[in-house]
Amino acid sequence: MLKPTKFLARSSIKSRLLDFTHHMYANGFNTTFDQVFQSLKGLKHIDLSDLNDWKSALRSIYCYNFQTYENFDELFDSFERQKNDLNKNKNTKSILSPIEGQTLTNETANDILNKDNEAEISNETKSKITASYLENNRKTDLKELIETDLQQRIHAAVLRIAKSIKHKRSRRLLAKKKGEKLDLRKIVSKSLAYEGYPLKLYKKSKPKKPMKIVTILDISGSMKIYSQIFLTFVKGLVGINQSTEVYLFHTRLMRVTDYLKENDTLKAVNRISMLTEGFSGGTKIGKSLKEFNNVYSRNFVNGKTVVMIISDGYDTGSSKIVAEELEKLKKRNCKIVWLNPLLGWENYAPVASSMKAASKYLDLFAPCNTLEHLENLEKELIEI
Amino acid sequence: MQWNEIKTSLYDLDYIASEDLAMSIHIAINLERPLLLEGEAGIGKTALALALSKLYKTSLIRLQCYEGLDASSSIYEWNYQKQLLSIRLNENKNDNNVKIDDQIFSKEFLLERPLLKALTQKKSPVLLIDEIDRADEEFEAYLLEILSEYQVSIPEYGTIKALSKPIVIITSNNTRDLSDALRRRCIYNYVYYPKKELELEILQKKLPNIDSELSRQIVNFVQNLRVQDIEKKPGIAETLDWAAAISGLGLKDLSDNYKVLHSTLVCLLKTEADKAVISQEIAQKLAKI
Repeated sequence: MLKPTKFLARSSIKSRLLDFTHHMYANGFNTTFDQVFQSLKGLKHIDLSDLNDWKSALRSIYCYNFQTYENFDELFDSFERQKNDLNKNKNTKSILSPIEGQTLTNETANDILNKDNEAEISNETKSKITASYLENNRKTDLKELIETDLQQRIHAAVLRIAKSIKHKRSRRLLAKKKGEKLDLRKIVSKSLAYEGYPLKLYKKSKPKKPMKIVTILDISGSMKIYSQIFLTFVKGLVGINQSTEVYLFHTRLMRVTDYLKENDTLKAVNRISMLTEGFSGGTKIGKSLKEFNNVYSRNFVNGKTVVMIISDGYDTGSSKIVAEELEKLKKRNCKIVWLNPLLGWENYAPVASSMKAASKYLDLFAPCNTLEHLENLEKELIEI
Repeated sequence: MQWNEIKTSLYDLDYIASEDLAMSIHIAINLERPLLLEGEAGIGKTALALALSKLYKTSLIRLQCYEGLDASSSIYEWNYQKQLLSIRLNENKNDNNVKIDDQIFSKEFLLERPLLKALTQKKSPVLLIDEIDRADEEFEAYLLEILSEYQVSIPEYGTIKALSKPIVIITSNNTRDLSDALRRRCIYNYVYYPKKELELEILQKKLPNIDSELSRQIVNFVQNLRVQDIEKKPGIAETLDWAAAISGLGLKDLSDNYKVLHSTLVCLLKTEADKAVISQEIAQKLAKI
């Protein structure tokens, strides 16, 4: 979902670029001032009267991965559209519209930032901001006030879990005082100090490589009552280990890792609530796993990854696809952990067809309907 | 040179770039930034570096990344054997040790690996850092200084600054995520599979002897194959291989002999599972679409 941006009625290219940068930042891009500076330099080398040139040049500078590359055009167009709407009544030029004959000067970064940006906010723009804020508050159903002590307990459990799956032995050898093997290269180079006699023996050994956690969280209707705990749980995981990846699914999959890097848990949960609004009813585990395998698994899953799926296993799609996709995922040599809140219930058996199909690919199948279960995960994760 | 001139010049060198890619090259060269290219394997990321070196009539220095690649294999290493010999030779001379130190840590004893070599060229070379995702994350840290400052710091020797800034092309096949620090320093482009028209243009440019109707059929087939549920989708390199195979076997039309057509699919399908998915019947259907 596109986030509305505070547009200012500016005229110069620099101001427009700053507006554009704010717009991209508000919509999940990690923009830096360096990008504005590079854009200013880069725009000197293109035809400013051609909007496509603008788009291509800014795409090269503002994008930094596949996801941003995919979203760029939509965000650029929305920016252009909204700016045009804003300027329609003012009879001014659109935000990145053709600017014939306009040239750039080598003004420094500070010159640009020091300009008074706020003076030009129109009343119309102000009303837009208020509207979007009110709308924003209406959509925050998931954040329902997470209690502080609950947060603390979750945080402690997360810490222990993260610690239990922190490292894996690597095949590479690195220098170590009490290593297993002699480091001949180092011995020869250091022997120079002793006229070529290897007086000191240096050793190397296989280091422990950090493990990564990929969490795929079901946020369908049947899981709604657990959403609060699990979102806080995965937020905690991201906080402890920045390489943790988080995906939410329902009928489709969405990567929310970047949104969870927000310091404030409530804000993060709130942003995700907004993002997942467009999801329709039902749960499609197989389809979501397929999307994960096709788009993300190559980047984020390897032998040093624990994939943690948190779902009750109730699926409106085909269980055959779930099995196929888990098999594909397993080929990446990762560990697959399935946490099912229903497993904690008395007399529960994994009779849901997707759960049955999945069971043979799992390294760990554990309950997670109470905090105690999450806290006890540590022991089981050490063993996988 | 404007981006459309780059596109035309690359075309003359048998490399057909999309407008978007040409713009990224143009921006990267003018801003003196590395160009990070991501995308599936076999879609011409590496070939671009070669084409650019021809375009700018300069040398191509290639660093192929792999797991365990370190500074001594990629940046520089001291020639230890030569240093030892030099020490031995100087043993009986009465020169003081300081002079020997200066001597053995001089440029004469420095082995230049690709990254340092790229900085010491008089004419800007094209530096290709290929498949960076195969190298370890630690290796990216080595690259940061080189890519942002175009210099290498050697503790025993000092800092070597680039005589001329190289045109840096970094490719990645997306097998792992690269660090933000590296990404921030680069101009980015994601190279997609080419659209039908572009792929046909590439095929006709690279293999002009193939009949235009057969070329159209080949491109159609490959485009249809890419939307099937297969593990490894064929890239442009595979399309060219397959087209050469089809042409070499004397097929004038894909519908001439489906058995032969199916047997040539080894050029396009690279896993056992994919071969099982695309049976002769499915291949027949794909050829008819």
